[in-house]
Amino acid sequence: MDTVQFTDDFSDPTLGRFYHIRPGIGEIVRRDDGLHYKILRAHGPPSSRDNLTIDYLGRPQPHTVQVHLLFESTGWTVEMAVDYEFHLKTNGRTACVWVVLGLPEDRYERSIQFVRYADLPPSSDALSVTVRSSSKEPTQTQLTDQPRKSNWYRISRSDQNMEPSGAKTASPLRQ
Amino acid sequence: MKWEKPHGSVLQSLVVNSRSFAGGAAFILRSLQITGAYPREAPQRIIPLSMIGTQSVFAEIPANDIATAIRAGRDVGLLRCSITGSLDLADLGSEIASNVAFDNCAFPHGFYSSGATTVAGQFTFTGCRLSQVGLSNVRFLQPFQAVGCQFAEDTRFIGTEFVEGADFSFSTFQHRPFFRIFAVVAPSSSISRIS
Repeated sequence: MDTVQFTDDFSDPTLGRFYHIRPGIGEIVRRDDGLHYKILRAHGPPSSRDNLTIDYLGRPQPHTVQVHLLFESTGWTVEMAVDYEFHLKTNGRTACVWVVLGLPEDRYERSIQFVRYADLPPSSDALSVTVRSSSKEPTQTQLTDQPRKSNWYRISRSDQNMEPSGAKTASPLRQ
Repeated sequence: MKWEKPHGSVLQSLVVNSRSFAGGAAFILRSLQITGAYPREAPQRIIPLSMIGTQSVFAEIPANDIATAIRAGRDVGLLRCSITGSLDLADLGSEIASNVAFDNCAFPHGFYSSGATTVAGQFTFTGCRLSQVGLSNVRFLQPFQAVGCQFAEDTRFIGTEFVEGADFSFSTFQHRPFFRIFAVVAPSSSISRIS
């Protein structure tokens, strides 16, 4: 039996039609070697949420630019290869990759999130996974405190079970 | 790690975004493979109407240009602009789907709705100076935000419905605003001052 499969190594620009980019702080450019996301600063610390908020210092927190890709099925496997460039020693920077059960705006309710974080000291570097279920408190598991540049993620759903896994080395899909 | 009984939804989303304090990093999605599903094509958004003024001189944009863009379903994003002429939401259609963001803009003329209308897109005002505002009988389906704004003249939200909440944080009202029989379904924020 044939299995439906979507594969994008970003060499085919026509596949860009599946990605919806929601404007915000930051830059996203699709090139033939990947989807490049540049984390930028703004007047206030940009947040990963959907709306403008105000932090406790009264600073506006604009939302960051987002990429959305939607798909339907109850049995699937998503595999991603992600490279991180966190060389500059600046204050808190966080890259987020989410698989959400539902629409993008449901991600703080039901999701699995891979988080690459770094602050000024090298000891702050971390790669973690956060699981959110509306019936429980979010659980965060640190995968490593010495993240590598290239990472590979795999998330599977089989009916009512979802299972993430991560590896420290990339497994490129390019044939 | 397993997530038991997550949800009955058959729709999933892949989301890539960030948060930061100072910026200065990047990441690249090198490859993506989905086995067992095929993604939907993304909705086609029409090129938004955007204009940016300088720090010292606001760019002038006629309200009619904004109205034309919204009627065409375009999003609007204006930074440091002065809107000349009045903007009437009821004149833009029975349901407004565009996302509209005004950042540090001036509304020397009226911003109102002459009749009942529904705003399905998101309306955001940040650091704006508004004169007369009359958004009575407008139903906002998305979070309404007027953060750090100055409401310099008569301001009325009578019978206005903020379905997903309203945020008036750090806004000032030169005159007592009218918030009568309005409805806020979701949480709202109103750290505001009436001077």
